[in-house]
Amino acid sequence: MEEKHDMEVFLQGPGIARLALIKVPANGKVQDLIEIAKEKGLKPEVGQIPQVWVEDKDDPLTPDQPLKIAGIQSHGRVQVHTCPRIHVTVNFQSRSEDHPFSPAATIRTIKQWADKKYGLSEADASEYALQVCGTSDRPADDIQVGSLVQSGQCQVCFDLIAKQRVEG
Amino acid sequence: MPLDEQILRAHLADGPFQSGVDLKKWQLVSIDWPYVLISVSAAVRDGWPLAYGFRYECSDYPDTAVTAQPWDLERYAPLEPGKWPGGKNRIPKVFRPDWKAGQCLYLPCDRISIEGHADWHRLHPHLIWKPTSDITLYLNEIYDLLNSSDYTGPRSA
Repeated sequence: MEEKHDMEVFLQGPGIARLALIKVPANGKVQDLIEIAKEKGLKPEVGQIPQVWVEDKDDPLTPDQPLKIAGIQSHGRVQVHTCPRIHVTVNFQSRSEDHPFSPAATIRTIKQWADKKYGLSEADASEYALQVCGTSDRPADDIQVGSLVQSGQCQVCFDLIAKQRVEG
Repeated sequence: MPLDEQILRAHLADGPFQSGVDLKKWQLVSIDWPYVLISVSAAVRDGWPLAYGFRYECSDYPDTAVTAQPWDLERYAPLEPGKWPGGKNRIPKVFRPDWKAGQCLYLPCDRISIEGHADWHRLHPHLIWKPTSDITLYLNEIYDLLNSSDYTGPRSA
């Protein structure tokens, strides 16, 4: 019977290794998500206060707010983070553009912003990907940018690179 | 139940795979170990399929990479070459019915295709399978191709 009162939520945050699908009491509060995030690997430093954002939303939720009032429904997507904004830099060819994003902004959203900044048409845009600077990591489009920074750090850098044909 | 099947089933229930299901990127069809059938959504246009089926062979998962064969979900048989996805540039290089008799895709994350392609580790490091990888590495790449401007529908269209 208890299952009936739980709902599944997609949870992301720094230190949480995978995009987590968690169960939380449907009558729970936003603070419950923060506690679960800590269990999953979120480690805020002293003085840092984790907050919860709904995916692609700019403002954090109030911790004591009930989940339903906060607008979090079954299979909702949230980010738990200590940075109010993530300073994102995207490099393309010889140019560099930056913008402060919500930690709950997805790679999909940042890619669309970068495509527009660099004047890529819709057709051309699908032939480019965001790659974390200095790595070969190309996060999937459902990854939220806050998940890509270390706890306490509030910035991340991407290169916008052309997708290569597989040959050889 | 063998350990590889236990881990694969856990990954199918986990966030990365379920997020793709929630976003309607892909859908689990069936498991008949070591085979797993998954349909992957494709760009929508009149006369084009809404999705393509793939039969994954997942033995020794996740220590060993998976391999995927385009699959006719209605006939429960390999997909006819004319029905494989077609495209302009990247897709014809990946979906090759002539490669290994159509048993796999020409991708660095494919168990069969990676053999003999040591240079792919340098050229496509983001697509190299690691024991920490999960099946969404492969699924995201297929989904990306089938929803790119490179995709032009089935080869016979």
